[in-house]
Amino acid sequence: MAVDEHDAGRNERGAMKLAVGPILYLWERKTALAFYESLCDAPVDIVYLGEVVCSKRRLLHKEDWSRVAHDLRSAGKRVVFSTLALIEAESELATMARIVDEAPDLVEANDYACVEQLAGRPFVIGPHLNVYNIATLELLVRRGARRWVAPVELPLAIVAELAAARPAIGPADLQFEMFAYGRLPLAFSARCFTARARGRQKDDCGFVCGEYPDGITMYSREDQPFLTLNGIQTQSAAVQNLISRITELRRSGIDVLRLSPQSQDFTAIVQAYRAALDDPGCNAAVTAPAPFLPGGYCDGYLDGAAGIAHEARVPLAPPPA
Amino acid sequence: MALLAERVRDMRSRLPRAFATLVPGNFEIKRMAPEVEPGAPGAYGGPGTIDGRVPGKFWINLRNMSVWTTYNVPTLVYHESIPGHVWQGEHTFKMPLLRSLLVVDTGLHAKRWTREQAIRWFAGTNGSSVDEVTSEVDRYCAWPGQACGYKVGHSEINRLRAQAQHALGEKFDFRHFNDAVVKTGGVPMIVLARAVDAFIARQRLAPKSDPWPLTYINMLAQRAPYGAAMVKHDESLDAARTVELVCPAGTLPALRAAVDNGADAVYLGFRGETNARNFPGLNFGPREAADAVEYAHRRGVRVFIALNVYPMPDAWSRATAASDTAAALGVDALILADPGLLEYAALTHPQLARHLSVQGSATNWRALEFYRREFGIRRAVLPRVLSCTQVERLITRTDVEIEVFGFGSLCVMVEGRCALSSYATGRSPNMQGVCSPAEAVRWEEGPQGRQARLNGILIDRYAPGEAAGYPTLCKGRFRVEDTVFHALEEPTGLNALDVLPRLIAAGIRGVKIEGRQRSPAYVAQVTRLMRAALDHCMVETKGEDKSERDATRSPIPDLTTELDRLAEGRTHTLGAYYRPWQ
Repeated sequence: MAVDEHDAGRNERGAMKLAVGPILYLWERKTALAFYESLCDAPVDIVYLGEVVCSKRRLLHKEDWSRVAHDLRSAGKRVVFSTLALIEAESELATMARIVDEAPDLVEANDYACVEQLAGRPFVIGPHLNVYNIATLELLVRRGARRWVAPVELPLAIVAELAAARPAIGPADLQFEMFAYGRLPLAFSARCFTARARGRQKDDCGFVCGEYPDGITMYSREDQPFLTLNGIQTQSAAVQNLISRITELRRSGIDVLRLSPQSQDFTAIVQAYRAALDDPGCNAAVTAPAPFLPGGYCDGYLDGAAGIAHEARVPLAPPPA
Repeated sequence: MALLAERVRDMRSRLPRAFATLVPGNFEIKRMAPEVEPGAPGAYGGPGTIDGRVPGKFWINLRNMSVWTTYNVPTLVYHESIPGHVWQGEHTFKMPLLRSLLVVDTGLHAKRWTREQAIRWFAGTNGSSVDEVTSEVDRYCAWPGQACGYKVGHSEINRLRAQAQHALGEKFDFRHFNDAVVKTGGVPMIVLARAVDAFIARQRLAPKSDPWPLTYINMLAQRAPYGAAMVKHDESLDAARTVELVCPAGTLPALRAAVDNGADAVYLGFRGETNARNFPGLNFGPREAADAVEYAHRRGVRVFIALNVYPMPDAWSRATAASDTAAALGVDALILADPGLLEYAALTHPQLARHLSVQGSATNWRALEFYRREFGIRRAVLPRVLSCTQVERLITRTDVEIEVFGFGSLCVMVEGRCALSSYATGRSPNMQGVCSPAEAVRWEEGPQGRQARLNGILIDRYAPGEAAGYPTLCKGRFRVEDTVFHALEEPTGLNALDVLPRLIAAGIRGVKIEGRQRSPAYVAQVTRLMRAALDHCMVETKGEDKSERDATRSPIPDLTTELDRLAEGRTHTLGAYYRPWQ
């Protein structure tokens, strides 16, 4: 049975949790079902389900989602239903409204249409809602937000400043979540870049994105892996990995770390993060498996540097006056 | 006298928009007899006889012509004649005569000022001439509480109107509210409040009326401060039916170029990280902004201030201070994206219109409804992601005015939802108001040609002789699998001319030109061309009431060629308006 998020948060604050973000790619149905089955036994606390990127994709059927959610709940996980980031059509609004109305669990809002639809019910502020200051966070908390997933570009210092203001923002159990592992979701467009790369139009895409379980890496002309094309979404080519910074994240008031699904090594990554969380003294000693994706690791955003930077620790010099 | 007559004619044509019940407004404009001028007020008016045989009068005192100016005469006319005293009397004729018991003994009488003190204070504080105020003060001496009574009534009627608006929501109709007020006659305010309660109860049961009165009342609430509003009066009312050309102003010369070449509104930002075009050498300090507002308002052009970044905690007080400055400058709207800042503006400067910036990323009507309900936004600028059909559908589902991009650089990504720039350089539109910032750009000559890097990342490489553009990171050439191409978008500009007639017919209220970073010469040319295009479309669209609409007809063919010369990469696209682009 699902534990109420609200109470769970209040009682367990302090113990950092692991969350698995929504699958951002179009995987085979069988692959996705197997992935969620494996999560039932994995040492994660929260699992985000649903489609965030493209309304045309049908990763799973409605019944599949219900069953997956049920199985995860039975395994003691808390389930959150994520919703679309770019909502344009009536049909997309209707799908979002149905999720909000039917979800027995928390919903993650990634567009203000979803906040409006929620009409005060508890929700998670997804990474695609722009929250950059206390006033906006406080406003959303007044409207029911229970957890905030910070925008990926926000430096840790700012997140920490907002976390320090938590007593003023209230309620006491408001949770802060950071995107800790995965290719960073950076941008959305009306255009499907995967279809474009394959010489197709969006309306006749043939679901070619299904052939790229981690998106298509886009290289510079000197072969530096730069970005990842994932349908209408653009991601980083590098995988953000904050495993070596967990102590700092905890000290900054972060409650939940989000691991974004990828097609390989995910179980090992979960294990590595769990080991890092369970060993309070650990720091850089714990490492995740070497990245199998070509972009390597990055963590620049944490320090207010370019997101692509790795262990830069130094922000870019300010522009010349 | 000709000006008076002209203003009366103009007002007569507008009254059906504000009232459902019309009375004749039977009156004539008369000069006071010279022998009564010295002791008479500046002007007064009232209805004629109940049978209409003797028309009403609007009397004007021409003793001293220097007190009458083109900007103070219009409201005087409206006050004394229609829809003021003449109408008031004629409405009263149509119902049992009731007498107001409104007498409030305050002001001059409560403070025990002398006549001379009052005149001195009036003239000194208000800036009016002694000659002008003397007869006013004499009237107040003999008529205790008259001026206060006006103000009390004004405040109470406004309160009742807000109450009715709130209670009725979409069913609120400006004309019916005005009818309810005037048909009650001259009654005490407590009686008026009961009458409005009854009106609210009646309207709740009535079917929803057509939508324009809401727009109208919105515009009344939005009117710029005194002075500016006078000059702009006509334009602001006509805006109910027209489409504003909204032009960029990165500098004062660019602002003048936009104003002089046909902009209906200009938008500008303050210096620093408070807006999404935070470029060196651009934007306005407070004094320049005041000059800008004055230049534009004098010519009937509205001014919007872009405050469209998402301020982080250390920038918060700068952002709120900037919105306070904008309000003090008497601008016509704030363009905002951050919900916290929208809330601040709505609470602190409720009278100042709020436009949702394109950076607010509202791409559907329910998101717009969030911003409208929470912060009372008047207008929203749509991100460049919707197809023409989607814009058309969206407009049918919202009361928020819609402004769309018509020309300029093309953002490929949803504005407000793009962190590509900070991923490459650490600085982004949302955080610092910049994209692919110049200080991160490096040009170099390599063996394979000229190369453009952004914070070290190769964005594009140009063969000898090939035109090189600014390395905006989404417009470079990259390798995807085995192909090197413009994987995200070509360096091309947006030009919506081909769909402008469709968008206008759909009911857009503003067409925005991108380019606060562009030169005055560029702004002048694009404004002039887009003005011509818009005027052409407006004529066509109006004519379409009679004939079948030809949605695909392009406005003026040779404009496209001229505009292309100004476009990024010298080519243009319809962008997302055209579905196959997506």
